[in-house]
Amino acid sequence: MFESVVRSPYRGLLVIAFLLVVSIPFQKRVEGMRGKFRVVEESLYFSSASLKRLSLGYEELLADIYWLRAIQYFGGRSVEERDPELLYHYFDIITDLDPKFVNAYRYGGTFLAEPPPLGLGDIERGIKLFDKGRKNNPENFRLPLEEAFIYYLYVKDYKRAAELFKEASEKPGLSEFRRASLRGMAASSLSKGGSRELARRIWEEIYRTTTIEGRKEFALRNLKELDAMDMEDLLTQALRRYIGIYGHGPSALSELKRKGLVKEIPKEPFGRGFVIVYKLDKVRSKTLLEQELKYNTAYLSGASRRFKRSFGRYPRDLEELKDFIRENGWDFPEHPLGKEYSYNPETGTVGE
Amino acid sequence: MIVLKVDNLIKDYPTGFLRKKVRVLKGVSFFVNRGEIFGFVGPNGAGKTTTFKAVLGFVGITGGSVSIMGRPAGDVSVKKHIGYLPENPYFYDYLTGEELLRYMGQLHGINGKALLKRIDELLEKVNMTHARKVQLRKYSKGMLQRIGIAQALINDPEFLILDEPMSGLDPIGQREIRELILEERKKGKTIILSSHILSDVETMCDRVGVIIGGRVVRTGELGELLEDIHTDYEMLLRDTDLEVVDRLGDLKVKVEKRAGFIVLRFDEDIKSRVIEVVSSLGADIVSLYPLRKSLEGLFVKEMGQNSGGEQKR
Amino acid sequence: MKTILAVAYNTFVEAKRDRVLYSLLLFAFLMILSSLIFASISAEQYNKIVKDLGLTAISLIGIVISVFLGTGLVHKEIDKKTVYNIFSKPVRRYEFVVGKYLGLSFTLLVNTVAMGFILFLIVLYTELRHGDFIRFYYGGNYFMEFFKAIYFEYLEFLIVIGIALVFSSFTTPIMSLLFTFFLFVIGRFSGDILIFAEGVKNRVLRGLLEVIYRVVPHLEKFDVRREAVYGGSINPELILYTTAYAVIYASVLVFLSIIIFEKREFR
Repeated sequence: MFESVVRSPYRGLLVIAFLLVVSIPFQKRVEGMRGKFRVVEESLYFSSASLKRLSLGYEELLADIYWLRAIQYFGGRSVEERDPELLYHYFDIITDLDPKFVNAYRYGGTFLAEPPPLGLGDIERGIKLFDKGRKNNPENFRLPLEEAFIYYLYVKDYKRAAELFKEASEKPGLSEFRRASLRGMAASSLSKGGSRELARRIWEEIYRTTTIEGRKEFALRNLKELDAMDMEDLLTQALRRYIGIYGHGPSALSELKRKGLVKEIPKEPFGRGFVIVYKLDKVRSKTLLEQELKYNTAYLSGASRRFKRSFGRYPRDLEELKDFIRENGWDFPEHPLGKEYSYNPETGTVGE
Repeated sequence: MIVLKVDNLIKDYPTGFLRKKVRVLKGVSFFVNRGEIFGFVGPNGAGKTTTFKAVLGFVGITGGSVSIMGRPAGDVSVKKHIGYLPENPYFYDYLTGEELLRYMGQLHGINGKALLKRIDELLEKVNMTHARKVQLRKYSKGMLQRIGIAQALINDPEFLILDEPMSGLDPIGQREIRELILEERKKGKTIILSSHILSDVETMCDRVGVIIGGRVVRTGELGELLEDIHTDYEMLLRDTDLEVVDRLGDLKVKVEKRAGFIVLRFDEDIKSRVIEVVSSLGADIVSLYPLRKSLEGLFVKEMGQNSGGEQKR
Repeated sequence: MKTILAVAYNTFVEAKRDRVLYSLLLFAFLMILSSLIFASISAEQYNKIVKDLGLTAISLIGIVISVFLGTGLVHKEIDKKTVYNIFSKPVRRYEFVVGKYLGLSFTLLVNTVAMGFILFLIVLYTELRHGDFIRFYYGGNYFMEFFKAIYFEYLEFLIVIGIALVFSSFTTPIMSLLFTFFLFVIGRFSGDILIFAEGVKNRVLRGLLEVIYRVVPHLEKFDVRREAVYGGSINPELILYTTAYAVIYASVLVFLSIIIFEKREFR
């Protein structure tokens, strides 16, 4: 029996295929218990120096392998599983092995610094990686440029951002147009820090240069938000003029157009429309309003939990929470509709 | 009763990078009767070893058929009753002679006391008792040949296949092995042995198959085969007048002078006539001997007919 | 069965009388012993250094032995024509292949047990001397995990021997060595194939990668050396499934070798 099977290669290979299929459930059970991927934390043991020796002179290749593992590992995980320390260590090793690997600094630094869900929100480590990249690649203009983005968009340190824009503009080999544009970014960052104008240009730059689908979408969303903010401003101005003339607010937005205060009610970039917040005499985009509300309540609930960690209980009421926030030197975000938040002292959660 | 029947056996080997086929056996046919010693003779590269390998299933068969004790080539059940000595046997050089025999015995399913007894017997038989604890790497070629024969006999086989059993042995060793083989036949065993040295076969074999260039060109009783061969004789005469030569006249005799002797060379057929003439003249005959009456003549003859015959593949 | 055991025993004897084996084992013992020196200058990380270095030595040397002896396993017998002796006896080809595999597996078992025993003595010694430190840093001495790690290493040898056997049954030792090493490296990084596959959009290519992943040996799954130092759950279930996987995979390799070997001619 056995011999007739092994003597016929077809039957033999069939048996082998069968055995391999049988092994799959076992493979999966083992994977379930140990993870598909070898746990990466092991690389924390290795210093770059020992890895360099291990690579037997093929440092660049080893850097590539680490690079592939890093992006595959971090690309395929949910946010909670991603460990910024580990990622930083990875990119630190990669760039130690291959200091000229500019994309490793760019990708790693941006990914570390950008807020979730795109990145890990670890601005400090992201900047550290960019700084290392600039030191190792003094001729490259993208590293200071992209570091400047982080300072401008997330740290909101416009002075530092301006310095970095300027540094980028001084790199050799730039086209005149590019050089002028970078100088302009430096100037406006310094003079009109936080201006929507510069932010728009930054997001446009990111939108144009990124190859990552998620980042492109993210940049686009940011650009749309900036548009929406411009529209809010325009409509709010018109609203206030209307009130100045008629002494009361309009019953609907279309009133503004009918009375000739705006030429056109613009289309909200997310397609949601605008609402009039009578209490504050403001026109708000529905999208931005909801976003702000969501963010604020999450932030306040977080503050309430922090309160509990310090005092062993949740704040008695919103006033106590407000005081706690102000005592710590933070800003209390006002309700975007001009009313009070609802608050449940049992659970410490702040609602709309 | 026929122990081994090989019928029109064909074997191709692919060679070289392009796997071009080379035909090594071009239709080998012979049979071996029970209880006889069959000599399988032929020059080096004629296909003797390849035939054995095909019979034992070491290599596949391209064409023809083999029946060994009624079973196809390479049949495992038959191997219980077979002993095989490979050409230039190489064994595990890290084993001692005794260990090799034990291993080979175990492969036959012989174990325990029976195996130990058999090993003692065989070592005695091939005269290797003194070297039983010596690793094979220290054996001479002759010692390896003896231990090789011992392992072939470990299962007391019905049918012995010996590939060049005499090679590497000194004359004493050859005689011992010859006696051993004859003894096995006396016990009723069947033996096929190959050789390119004809005297081996001449002195032992009942029947002979001559293989040349991948074909068995002749088989038969040794006597039958030799009948076909005309043998030359040489006669040495001392210091005679050349008158003898004249008197030989019409007889086909080659005459030459060598170191003060007269040498006559003639065919077997006219042996008695030549002797008659020479003695009638009162010439002093120093010696008369056959030049070659052996298989070599047959070899030469057959190879001539095979137009040079293919040599080593 | 007796035939298989006879072949296996002879394979073991051959390895036992091979000087290369002893020099490799000596090297392993030196590495294990040297861990004591490294441990003494390791800023109190005695146990970790000894275990890391020792377990690595056992694995490394075991794999080198598996590969080197494994790649010669069948080829040497054909090359030196000893197969003629074997197969003129009532031996089936699969019995020979299985016997060879079991013989070398047994050799590795003996070696691994010996190396593991020496290492255990050293671990025990550090434990006696620095037990407090070890418990302080690592929260325990994890003897069971230590033995499990050695057992897992042995499972890996079983697969590596199988790989070497497959190649040994149809090509020269040098080529086998190369192929075996290749497959070994792939096996040590097999997880990356799957991760890579998950990132591929093309369905056909992705399917292909997944099949490749399922077919290559998952050698990295036999590495639980870290758990031997830091502790961790190597529960009976994991041992069971990993063992089952190793046994099935080794069977596949032996079976494949048999199929190839059945077709071989001994010229």
